[in-house]
Amino acid sequence: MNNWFFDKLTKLIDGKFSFNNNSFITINITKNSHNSPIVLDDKNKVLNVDLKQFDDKQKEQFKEITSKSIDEGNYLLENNSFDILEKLYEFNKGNDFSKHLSFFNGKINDDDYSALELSFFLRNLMVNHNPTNIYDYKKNISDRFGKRGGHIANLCTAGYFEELLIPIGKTSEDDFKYYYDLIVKREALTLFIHRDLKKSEIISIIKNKIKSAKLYGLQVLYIHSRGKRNNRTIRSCLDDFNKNHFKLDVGEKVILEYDILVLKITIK
Amino acid sequence: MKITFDEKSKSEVLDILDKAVDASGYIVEKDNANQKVLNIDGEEVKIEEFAGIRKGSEVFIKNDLPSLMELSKI
Repeated sequence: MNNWFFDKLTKLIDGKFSFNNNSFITINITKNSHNSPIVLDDKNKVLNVDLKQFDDKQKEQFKEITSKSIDEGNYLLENNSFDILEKLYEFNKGNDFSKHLSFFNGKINDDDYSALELSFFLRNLMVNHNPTNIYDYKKNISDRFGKRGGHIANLCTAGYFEELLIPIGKTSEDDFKYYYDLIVKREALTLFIHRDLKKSEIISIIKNKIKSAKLYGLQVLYIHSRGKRNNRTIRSCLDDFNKNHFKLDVGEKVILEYDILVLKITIK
Repeated sequence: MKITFDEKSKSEVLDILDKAVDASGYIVEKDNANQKVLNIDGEEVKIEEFAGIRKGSEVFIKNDLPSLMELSKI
């Protein structure tokens, strides 16, 4: 398994190390504080390589063997990306959300499907790994697929695809197309609060969504919020709305574990 | 076998690939600063987006989730 790579690497550092070729499966390029450019991490089966400690000739040789290895099909990848790639491989093999995703294959356009697939991956990641940079990944989805992609990510996280759209889709294809357009394209059923929304904007959006909901024949509007700050903001907005516009019929559900607030506004 | 690198070693990795970073943060050819490297979609790649390279040594990979999902299906 890649014996030639380890042979060349051994020669590069004058054979001061002897490698059991099957023992080390990761070459990791990183800075180290040791006096040697190559340090063994037995426990994690990693060879850590500090390029700054190579002379020019060694750098050139390392470049050659790395290029050859890449040409053979190995990737050269940053650690975090490699971690995500491995999780993506696992996800692609099959997961708790596979049957939900497969329902939409062929029923929605390619971009929406891709955004949805990524969104289910994020949900899978949140459930199994609880990463800290989930908002960065959600932003990746909206950067690639626009506001609609970002909305799909929010709807997916909140369970709308499997809890609402799939049951509708199993009943009637026409109803599915109608409600998919309403919920995904027109964003008529939901409002997701995020930190960049000002109070005045939220109130204006709520007013407009209630107006639209009546036009479309919807009897509810769901507001989703997460985090203490966003939750405080939406509660304050609703107080203001009740004082300055009209009283809303609001039911609420709190998911303490994730600091999530879901408000159901019944539209009369 | 995997070859990986950490965030702080990006510059060294680009150096051994004969690449540099221009004033705007784009990855460019070391011997031609006007030639920016491209990913598989023909997009220029900034250093903060740089995730790595794959076969051919000239196909740069971005670190955003959609790019990594596409990579996972190759």
